[in-house]
Amino acid sequence: MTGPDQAAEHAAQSFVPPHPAPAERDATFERDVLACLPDVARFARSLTRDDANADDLVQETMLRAYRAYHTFEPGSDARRWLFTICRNVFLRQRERDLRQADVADDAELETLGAVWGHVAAVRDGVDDLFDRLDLGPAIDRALAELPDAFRVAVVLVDVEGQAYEEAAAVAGVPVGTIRSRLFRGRRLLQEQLLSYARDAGFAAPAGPTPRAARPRPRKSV
Amino acid sequence: MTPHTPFTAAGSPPPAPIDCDTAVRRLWDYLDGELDDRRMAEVDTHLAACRHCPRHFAFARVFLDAVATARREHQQPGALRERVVAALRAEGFTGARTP
Repeated sequence: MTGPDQAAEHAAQSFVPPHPAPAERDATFERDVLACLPDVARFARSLTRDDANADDLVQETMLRAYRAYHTFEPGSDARRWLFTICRNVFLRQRERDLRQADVADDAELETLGAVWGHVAAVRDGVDDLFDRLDLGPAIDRALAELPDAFRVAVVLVDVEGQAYEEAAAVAGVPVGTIRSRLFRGRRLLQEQLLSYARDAGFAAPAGPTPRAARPRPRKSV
Repeated sequence: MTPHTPFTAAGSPPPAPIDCDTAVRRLWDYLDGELDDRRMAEVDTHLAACRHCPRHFAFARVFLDAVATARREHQQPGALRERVVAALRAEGFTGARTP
């Protein structure tokens, strides 16, 4: 845990509720923190893989954030702050540390795996599956089956739009580790989805359809 | 293959040519915008000239978009928000008043 995160956690533990809470403080909390509820809910669901437990986790996260709000630096990234609290609450509840996960240590090899996956998809006629199929449920299932560490990396970067450095801070691991986990997670996801498409008989007779590929814009926060 | 290497900025040297292996090893970093400017330009230049790599990059990009879209379509935070606000009010929170 980083310094500011540790301070936030400590403050959350030792907080004395405000009586009464300053209206201005609550207004900014609502605007800057409570507005992130959908993001926190999504992240919590990716951690728990269970809606009811995710809701409990979101509530606890928001309560701790409220208690520690005086430690939040105005203008800083509220989502990252909340994700960090959420992850820490989750780890305590589960008594399990994501750092113990089996971690890929060769990010470049994982990247090449993505290309091999594409080659296999072309071979099997399912390389356009993302254009032809509603993969939402399949993606949900595939994400849920990922080991925790890989799922967290994928959700933070690919769903929440965090940069590697930001995601690493939330996960409490070095940037290189989050990068390796991300790439492994993506490869596993691709394999699951391609397998799903093949098993479901979605092979298409046509070849690949090239498109322009540009870097993705980060989600603004 | 020798890709065209136009200048990308005034006064800066043209990107160095890179081969397909180097380009695909940078695939995720490139799509995530995590490369420095020089490496980004090298990949850009390679993709503009290569007949093979753009398809791999496009496939990866569509995959990333599908993951992001699928997960974002899930949010229905209305009831959860009400529950969280109620819990916050028990702590003294006075915001999020209902009209």
